[in-house]
Amino acid sequence: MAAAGRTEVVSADEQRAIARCQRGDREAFELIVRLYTARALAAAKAVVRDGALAEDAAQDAFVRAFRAIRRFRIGEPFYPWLYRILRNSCLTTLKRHGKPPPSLDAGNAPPTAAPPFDPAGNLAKEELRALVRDAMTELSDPHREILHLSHFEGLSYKEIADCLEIPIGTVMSRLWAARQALKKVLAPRMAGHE
Amino acid sequence: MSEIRILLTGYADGELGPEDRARVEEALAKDPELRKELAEMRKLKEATLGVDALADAEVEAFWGTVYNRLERRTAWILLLAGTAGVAGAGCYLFFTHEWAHWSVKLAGASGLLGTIVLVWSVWRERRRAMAHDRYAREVRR
Repeated sequence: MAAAGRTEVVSADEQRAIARCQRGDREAFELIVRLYTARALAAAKAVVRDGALAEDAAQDAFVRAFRAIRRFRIGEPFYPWLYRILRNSCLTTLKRHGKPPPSLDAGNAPPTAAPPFDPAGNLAKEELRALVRDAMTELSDPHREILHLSHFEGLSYKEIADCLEIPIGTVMSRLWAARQALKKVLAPRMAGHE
Repeated sequence: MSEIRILLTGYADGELGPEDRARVEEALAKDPELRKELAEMRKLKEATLGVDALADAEVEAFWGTVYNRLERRTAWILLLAGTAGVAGAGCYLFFTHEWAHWSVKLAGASGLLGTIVLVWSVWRERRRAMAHDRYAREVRR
């Protein structure tokens, strides 16, 4: 089952909860945590590629977010702000567990042409979703991360640019390169399902 | 890399301005391969959109752990402040009273100095790690 993707608009309830958090209200923070747990866990997993580490990193990110929430400017999109903290937590968690940090570069290398395939083919939506998720583990860190933000989270380019701190033009070219890389990994797997 | 194919990505995501959108639409009208690519992209995105929802119990457990971590910070601060106070008072009594032999005071001073050097070293290491962390400005540790 999948939750809805794009949530650019911060609801009035959420804004009120954030304002209460800024006054140190932990009960209000519960609403924020519940609202973003699934997304934070999925995003952390896309970065650290390990369920247990992802949970640790996501919990750490929420704790850091609560401590830093006074610096959040009400009215701005909350998720990109949280995501930057989450990314930082993922790096720290990997470092703490002696794992190599994800590569932050090499996400814009021109890819070679990907073979054509029909993603609808004979596959059900859930099967295709599982195939994509599996194929993404073989992609470079920047490609996996940007595909997660665009495909699974459904973020706009502006939000992705805010999350990754890159220009919008880079979002589009990196996303294109990531999709080409994904198609290359997916093509033989799709052939196996025909 | 073909510019029109990069623009096609933005087109599929509904992110292009009117001028670029018109360019892509013109190219789409002429090129069936491009139309196929667009259809692939859209189908792929449609199939993957959305993050897996969690069971209520999972969210509950997650929030419980976050809450505990938030509370522990306060507990750690209180514990460290109390320990520092008791240790300071102990040091003062230890070094100012005459009941301890000078050799015991020397051993105590040695242990105290070692502790200070270790704490300072760990703190310095963390400061150095933060200075080289490109995301450190987002959150102060």
